[in-house]
Amino acid sequence: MVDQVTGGSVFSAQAKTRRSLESFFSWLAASGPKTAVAANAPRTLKRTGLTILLSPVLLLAGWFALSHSGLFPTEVVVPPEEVAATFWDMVRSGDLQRNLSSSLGRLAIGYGIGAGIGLLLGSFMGLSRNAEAYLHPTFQLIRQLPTIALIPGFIMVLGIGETVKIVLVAKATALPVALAAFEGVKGIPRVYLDVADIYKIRPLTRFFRVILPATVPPVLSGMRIALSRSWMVLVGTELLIADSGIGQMMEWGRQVFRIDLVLVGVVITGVIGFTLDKSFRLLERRLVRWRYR
Amino acid sequence: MLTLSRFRGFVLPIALIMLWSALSHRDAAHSFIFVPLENVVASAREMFLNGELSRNWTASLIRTSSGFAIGSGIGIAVGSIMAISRFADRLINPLYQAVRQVPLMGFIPLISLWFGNGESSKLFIVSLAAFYPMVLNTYEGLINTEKKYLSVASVFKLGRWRTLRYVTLPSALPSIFTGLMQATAFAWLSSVGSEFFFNPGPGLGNMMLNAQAAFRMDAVLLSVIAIGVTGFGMNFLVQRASRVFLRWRSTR
Repeated sequence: MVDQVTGGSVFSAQAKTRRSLESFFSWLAASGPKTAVAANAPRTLKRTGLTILLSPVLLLAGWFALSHSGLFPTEVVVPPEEVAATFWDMVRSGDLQRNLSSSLGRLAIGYGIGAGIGLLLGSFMGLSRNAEAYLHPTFQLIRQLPTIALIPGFIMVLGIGETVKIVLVAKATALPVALAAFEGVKGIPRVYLDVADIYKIRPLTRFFRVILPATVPPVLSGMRIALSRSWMVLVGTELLIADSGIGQMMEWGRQVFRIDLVLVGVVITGVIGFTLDKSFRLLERRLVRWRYR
Repeated sequence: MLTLSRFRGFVLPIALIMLWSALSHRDAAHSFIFVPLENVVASAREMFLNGELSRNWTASLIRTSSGFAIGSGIGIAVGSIMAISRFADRLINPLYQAVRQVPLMGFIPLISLWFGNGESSKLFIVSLAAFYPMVLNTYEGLINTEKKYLSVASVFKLGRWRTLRYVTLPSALPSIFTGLMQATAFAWLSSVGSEFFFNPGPGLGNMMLNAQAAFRMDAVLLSVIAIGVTGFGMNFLVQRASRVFLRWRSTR
């Protein structure tokens, strides 16, 4: 009986080793073509580089051709060079920088507050069974309410000043971050904690060497998703109620029928969204570098 | 003791409701924001009986489902084309990635100037919201088929289309359902949200704006609850559907 059990566990250990070997070889096989590509890198790189540029160049050329074709008035399909000129005008007059800094300021404050609350709430719920039992159902209930749908209610309570924008951004940030932190803490493999217990490491070491590294990756990706979501919420809020900011700039362009201005706004919100997401990804890779070794 | 501890989850909501009603009955200034719950129930009854709730709810829901159908249909098609053809991938992917960086709300002023402020612009936003996650999840699901399965298919000389039908598609199905789940959530959200930015028409978002303009917190709350419950219900339905469709999968 005992033999059977130990035999079973040895067998499963062997199976595990074999599985990990298998996954290692499949990983090797998957990286095979890439190494083959790297062998004749110059040609392949050149080719992919060109095809990747192809569609944006085509889009730009099509846009240019359409705007100058006379099919549509140039106020409706604004030529790309005019959009660039508008952009440059706004940079020189400082309008763009002013709007950018008020938008990004709101984002930074709201995101900071929201991420702080989210991290605290999520890890509290994840670490304490009591906290989970008391808070988690309500948390799940509130999570069903989309931030966008809360805008009118929040405007009624908080008015149309700065507070309401920051609160909305904080709300849009806090819930996904809390969820990520909660699931990150909950998702620590039991084995890690068991091993930590067997080695009888100190609680502080246990926290910094076991719990924290295991939770950092899911929490970071939750924070990244929260960032792009709260950027969307902020732009939407600024479209509705603002006296400054990228969203307000676009809304003004809409009201005075300046499509060039709106297009500048579209490009800038996109570039900011991209930059925020990309820098967060870089941060993720740096912080969890041990994962990629 | 054990039975009592099962109700721990109800403590916080009950405490919040009690706090709310205590605040609502303090004075007029408080009852403006912390509107008495009996008023919310009364206005729910009233709006349910005069058909206002169902009329607006249906309008939002119809926009959601048609936008979802358009957006996810095109999304699945584009995602599959990108996964099947390397050339299409190289052509579409950079464009998709670039356009996706613009937050959905950022397109609203442009769409309103190009396509007007009517229902079709709202539908466009909803379709776009459903389109993004569908493309990504279809593409990734099809691309990430296990190499082993593909080797088996080539050993059996299945051919391109039969491989797609019997190997690639079934293995992509879980990812496609993840996409559908995200698409329904985003479509519902943007359907209600789009009503804030375009011409007023029937819909829950509009009902909420009217309530805000009339300083009727009870109606605002009612709309928020209706939006939350509907979103939850839709998510539940898609989850159920995915469980039925993915029943054949051996869950490890």
